[in-house]
Amino acid sequence: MSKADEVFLKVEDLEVIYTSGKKNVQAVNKVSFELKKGQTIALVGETGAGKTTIAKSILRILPNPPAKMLGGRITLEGRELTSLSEEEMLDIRGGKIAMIFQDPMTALNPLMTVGDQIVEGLLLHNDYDKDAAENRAKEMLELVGIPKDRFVEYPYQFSGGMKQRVVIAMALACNPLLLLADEPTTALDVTIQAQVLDLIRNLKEKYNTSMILITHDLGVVAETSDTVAVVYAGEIIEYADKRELFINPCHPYTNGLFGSLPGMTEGESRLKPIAGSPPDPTDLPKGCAFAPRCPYVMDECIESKPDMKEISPGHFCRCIKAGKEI
Amino acid sequence: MVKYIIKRLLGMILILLATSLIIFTILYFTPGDPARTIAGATATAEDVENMRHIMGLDKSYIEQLGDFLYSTFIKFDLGDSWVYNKPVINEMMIRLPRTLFIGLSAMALNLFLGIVMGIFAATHEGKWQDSLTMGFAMVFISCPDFWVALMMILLFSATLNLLPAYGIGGIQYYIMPIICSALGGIAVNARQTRASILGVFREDYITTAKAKGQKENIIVWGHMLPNALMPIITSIGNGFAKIVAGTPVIESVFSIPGLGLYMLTAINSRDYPVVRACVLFFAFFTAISMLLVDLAYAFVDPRIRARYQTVKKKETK
Repeated sequence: MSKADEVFLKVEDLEVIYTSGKKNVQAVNKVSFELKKGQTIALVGETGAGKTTIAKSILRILPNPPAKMLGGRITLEGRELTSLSEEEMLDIRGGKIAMIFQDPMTALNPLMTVGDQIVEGLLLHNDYDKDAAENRAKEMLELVGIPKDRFVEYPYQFSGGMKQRVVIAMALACNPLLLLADEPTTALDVTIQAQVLDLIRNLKEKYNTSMILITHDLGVVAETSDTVAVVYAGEIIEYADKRELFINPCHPYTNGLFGSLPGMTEGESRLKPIAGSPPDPTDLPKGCAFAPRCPYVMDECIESKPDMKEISPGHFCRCIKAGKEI
Repeated sequence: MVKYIIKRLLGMILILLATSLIIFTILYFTPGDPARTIAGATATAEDVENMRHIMGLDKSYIEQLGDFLYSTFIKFDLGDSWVYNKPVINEMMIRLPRTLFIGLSAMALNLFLGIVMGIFAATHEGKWQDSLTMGFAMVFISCPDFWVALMMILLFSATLNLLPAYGIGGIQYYIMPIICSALGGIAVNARQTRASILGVFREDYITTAKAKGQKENIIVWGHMLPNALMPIITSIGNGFAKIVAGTPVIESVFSIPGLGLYMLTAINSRDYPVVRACVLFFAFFTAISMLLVDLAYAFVDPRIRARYQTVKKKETK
């Protein structure tokens, strides 16, 4: 087997809760997935499904309190991150794993020049002196399409798209092995979205970086990812190769997601939104979390939680009807 | 930026003019006759009348005001003390270092302890360390400074015999006055720092810094504090002006011959030139602190800096 096929990141039974007052919010519930070197997995799902929480718990940067990791193992290149000390994590953060944040408007420190913010990470993870770090930071700016003489400018002097490029430059400056891209294009307008996605993809290929892409945009998924995990109410409900998932979506929720996309060919005039809204995370249903909204719901769905089933090689689905004809 | 500072300094002249006008008018219309006080209890009506003439009090309000403004703002002469017949400015210069020393030391203590306590409380939010620090701050705020001063004298001078209770001399004479002036400010700054650090705690750029692998300490001092600094600077600026203007109380409790006590005695003896000079100085000092506060904003925040610079550009066009 070549090295590329080895499992590079492994997340097993990750469980995270948020405590607010006396209530516990089950944000991530027994989530497991794997990622190979150089590959991209997309976490797809509605707002509040727990996608960002998954990414942040890999970096262990969830604010505690209120967030608390109850269980699970995260292994990067055979090293278990969950048992590392805080000091050891400092090397991982920004060095081995970097994150691109959702909102470029707030992700940059307004009082520091963009150059200094890139340099900060570089100095932490490399043996650069100040000049070398500055040169590297300027190189990174050029790489994401920002003239290097803007090194000394402050975030307020950049537009949203430009800020997102800075955030990307910052994340990629130390050549991370794994990139967590948390809705990197959501805050941007459509023309810039395409540019930023291209940019991420090119840089990723150049450095053979693996990526976890968090999005609710199936178009972005189709363009960027290799595998897809559909997240609903803190659980992965369907997990498959991208091609397989797009051709043969299996879970009613995944089907619903595709139904709420405008088609280019079918000539349908109305979208079919998924009825209802996600369950209250402080009070999740006993059975399948999607049952209250599911058009095919049965008594069994409400009584007990369906297990993850492998319906074809590499295609997993958490639904009683999975594999059967609906 | 230079242009901005010059503009502010010119504005300050207006502030001082207005202050002069107000303080002069208030003193002019204050009931009672300074000439009678100065001439003494045994003076005859004729003596008092003579005195009034010497002091220039027999002139009209407008004439007196004109004289005062002319000598203060054109000749830069604050006049002579009515009681001691000596130039006010000489006495002020002797006393000023004492007041400033207390004020600046108290300020340094304020800044240091206030910010450290605030950060300590914020980084332990909700834990016992937080409650303890904020409890102390609450006590500091609630105790009036003269009361703290008296209690300290009772403890450290009367009972333990460690520190001198009043007067001036070596550094040991200043310890209690400095602490007393600082206490309230420390508490205000600690609470302000805690609140604004908590305000930036959950900001996205803090998460970004964390995701870079930056150490907790550097995140707090390098990323959180600068961003939390605006309200802290404001409260420090107010505190600074208040400390210097508030010295009369502390100086009279500890009998320190500083500016505050000078003004207080002058008010009692109706030594108006002294009162006017002191009030003017306090106004000047407050205006300077406010200017420094605004410059500190620009120093901390590039966005505010840019605003001053665009103002400048527009003017040069």
